[in-house]
Amino acid sequence: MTELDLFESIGNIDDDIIEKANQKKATTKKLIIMIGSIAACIAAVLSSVIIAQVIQSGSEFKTDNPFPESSVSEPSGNAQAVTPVSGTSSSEASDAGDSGAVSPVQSSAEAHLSAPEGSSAPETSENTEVTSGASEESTDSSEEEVSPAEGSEQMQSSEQTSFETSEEIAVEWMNFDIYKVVDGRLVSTQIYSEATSDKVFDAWKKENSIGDDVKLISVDITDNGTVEYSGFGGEEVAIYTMGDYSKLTVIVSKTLENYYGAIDKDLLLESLEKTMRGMSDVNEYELILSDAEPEESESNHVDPNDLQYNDQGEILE
Amino acid sequence: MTDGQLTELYWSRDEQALSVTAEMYGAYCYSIAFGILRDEEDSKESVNDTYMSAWNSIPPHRPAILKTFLGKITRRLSIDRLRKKNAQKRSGETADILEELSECISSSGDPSAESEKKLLDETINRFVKELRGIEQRVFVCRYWYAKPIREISQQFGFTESKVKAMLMRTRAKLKERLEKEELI
Repeated sequence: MTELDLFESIGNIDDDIIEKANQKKATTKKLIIMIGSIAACIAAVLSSVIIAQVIQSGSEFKTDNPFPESSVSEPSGNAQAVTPVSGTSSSEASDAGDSGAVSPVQSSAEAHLSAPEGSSAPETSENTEVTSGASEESTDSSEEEVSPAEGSEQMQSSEQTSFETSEEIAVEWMNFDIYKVVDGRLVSTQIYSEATSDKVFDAWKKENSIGDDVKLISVDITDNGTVEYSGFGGEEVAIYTMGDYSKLTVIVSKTLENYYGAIDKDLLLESLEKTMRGMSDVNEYELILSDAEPEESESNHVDPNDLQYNDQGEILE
Repeated sequence: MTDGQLTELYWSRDEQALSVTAEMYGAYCYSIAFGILRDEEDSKESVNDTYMSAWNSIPPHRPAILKTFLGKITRRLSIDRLRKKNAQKRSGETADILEELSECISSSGDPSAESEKKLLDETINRFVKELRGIEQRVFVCRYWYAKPIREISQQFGFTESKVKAMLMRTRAKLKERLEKEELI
């Protein structure tokens, strides 16, 4: 085959694909009209919500908070906050092209927790301001967001509200490369999936014909970022600064070993590494096979009330 | 005039079909031919040959999308002209495109046999269908329409480096697919 043969063959693709490719992007005018309409709708919704809040509660409303309490239902037991995901991995992953969105992963340097299955953590900036302190309104120990110890209930639940809202719009779908072993070599298939480690792991299992006896126990990203605490408006605020090194630790059930005979062990593990590393740009990767059972609700979960810190703000093991 | 009406002119052997085709799709066909041949005279000849080829093909064909039907004829005729030009005479963008595609094959070997061409056509079609949204459109703009990278980046609002990176990834996937199908 020559490159001209290939070039010629490309000419025989379906007509609708050819036609679709040549369509130009929406004109600027159309875009402006569309964006303007959306902005107007959002403004109308927000205005009505704010007015309803003022009328209903009759309480003092903090003008700098666009998400009033009454607009959001009580956080559920598994309510999650969008957490600033730490490390070089997350910010670089968020800058990646088609793949690389950071799934709910947990950082030991973080005071906050990953989102549960079905959602993804938002992209983070390098210096992330986080509010620490015990939550007075936690309905469940699994609730991840911590609100200030001081401050009104309204502010507290507003923060919960804002994080719920943020969490809803933080769910991403991305293209991921799933690696599988075929005829003694690795090949990749691209899938379009929710940006969660569970979904990507399930896709990897399916491609490699791995059964449901193999489970993803946890995915953890650790890094050398630092946390500093300072006072701000009567509240203690943690400011996280990213480091320059990160490590991805994937813990999978030991039942994976049952597949070593049918599939070349080294290639299988390499396919898993390449697949999982495709989600986050990390410096190091480690796979641990464990007898532990994954948690039922979500694989990555730590109760913030269980975390303890030393004087430098580092999380104690 | 709609495509359906124009097709009817061909079917009724009304020579007005040719002038209407030139008016409606002349520029489109010329842009495809020029994208490949990069020569004004050769491109014009390809477009004229396209009209004759369409006249001889309709009937019996009744194309679903007349525009792409004509575009495919132009493309094929232009590539035939390109084959006749030796490698030194292929210049600029076309040479770049062919060089990019050469990454997808192990080595520039012999022209494909007829049976292999059919399999190659099917494989390429399946591959392109499986590409997602923008990736598919960028690939087709580059390797079907033979558009320059600059033009593609303006069309989609991307930087040129992003377009190049996207195409590089897609070519790598194409190569994998061709290897998997044992075509290379």
